[in-house]
Amino acid sequence: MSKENFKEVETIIGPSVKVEGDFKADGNVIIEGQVVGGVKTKKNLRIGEGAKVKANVEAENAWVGGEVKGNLLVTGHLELSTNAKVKGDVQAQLVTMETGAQVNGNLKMGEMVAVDKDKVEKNTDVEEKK
Amino acid sequence: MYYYIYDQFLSSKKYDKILAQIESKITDLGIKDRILKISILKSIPELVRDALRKGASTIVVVGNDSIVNSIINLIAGRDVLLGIVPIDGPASTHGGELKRGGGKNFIANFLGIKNPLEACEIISARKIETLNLGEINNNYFISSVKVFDSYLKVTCDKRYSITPLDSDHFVSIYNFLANLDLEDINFTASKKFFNPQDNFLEVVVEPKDKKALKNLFKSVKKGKKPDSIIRVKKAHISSLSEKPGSVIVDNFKVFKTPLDIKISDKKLDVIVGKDRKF
Repeated sequence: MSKENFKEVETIIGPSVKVEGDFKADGNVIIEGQVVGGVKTKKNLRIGEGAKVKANVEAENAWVGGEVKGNLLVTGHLELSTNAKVKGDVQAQLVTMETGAQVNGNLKMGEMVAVDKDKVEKNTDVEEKK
Repeated sequence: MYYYIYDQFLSSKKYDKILAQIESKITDLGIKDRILKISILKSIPELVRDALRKGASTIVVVGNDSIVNSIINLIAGRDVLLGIVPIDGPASTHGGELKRGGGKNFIANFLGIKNPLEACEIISARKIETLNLGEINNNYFISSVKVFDSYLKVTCDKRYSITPLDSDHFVSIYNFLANLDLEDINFTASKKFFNPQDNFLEVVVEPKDKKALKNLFKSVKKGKKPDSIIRVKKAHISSLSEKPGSVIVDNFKVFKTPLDIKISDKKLDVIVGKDRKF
């Protein structure tokens, strides 16, 4: 996913910022700083090279250049760049990995991701109703 | 009916000349109805209540950001139009609140109103825009809330908190960037961010250093985005220490924590310059 996808960015979490909690957005999100908790966006997500994310992450498409400790659920295209370090399970319809990118966890690819995402959303709805 | 409310500092003799010019101009334009002057005996709430009771359709503030903010708190959501004739001068302690600065006219400038005489023509032309207002503990703000104290926690939309990672940065919450001039506003980024008609507030992490802050504004003017920007509807500011912290609202008014901030349901109808586009 090129930087062109981020012209219409809605949220930027810069290198001097820490976000803690359940972060949700409808538009494109760029993370260059730290996030602890959860990250969910209906659009594209870019995790920059200096970023540290300790959270379960959901997005339509994602480009990862930094560290992620948590599960990644991407319904579209996931790109892991050479400095990406993921400790957690990864699910995406399509995955591209550059040489050097690290994933320590299960990797699932293909159509089942959409089904799994439905499950996640249903479970979230149930939890929210409780 | 046009009601003009003069700030208290305008009673000084040095403003006689400009006030005479303004009054002559509004007479020529046929928009001079009533002039009310704030004094020790007549406070802003009394004057505004009086004007509204007598059927004011337009309240024109003659003064600076501090009186504009005070009037907004009295007319938000009411069926009355706000006009501004900007004159820089010392901020008054309307209502006895603690204030810093507020003597400038950033708000008028943002609305495309540069000087007092041009303002009279703008009021006569009546180009009207409806703006969002922010609410902070049941008070209204139009531009920004700045959180300088590092021991304050900013929680957004009841879900997540935002903390600067070093002491060189602080958190601000904006409805719009009042410090930008009209010619700087027609940049692409402003359409999405800092737009006072988008029903969102923007949380920004800014550098404390004035040079770095100037560079941030310069880069925003050029169409670049700030380092950190998050759009929210609500925010809560609490102190992580036993003592309460303070924030600065609209660049001059001080509020103490805990603070609930949100984009208000009430809006403000305001007369803007002819070139002002959101």
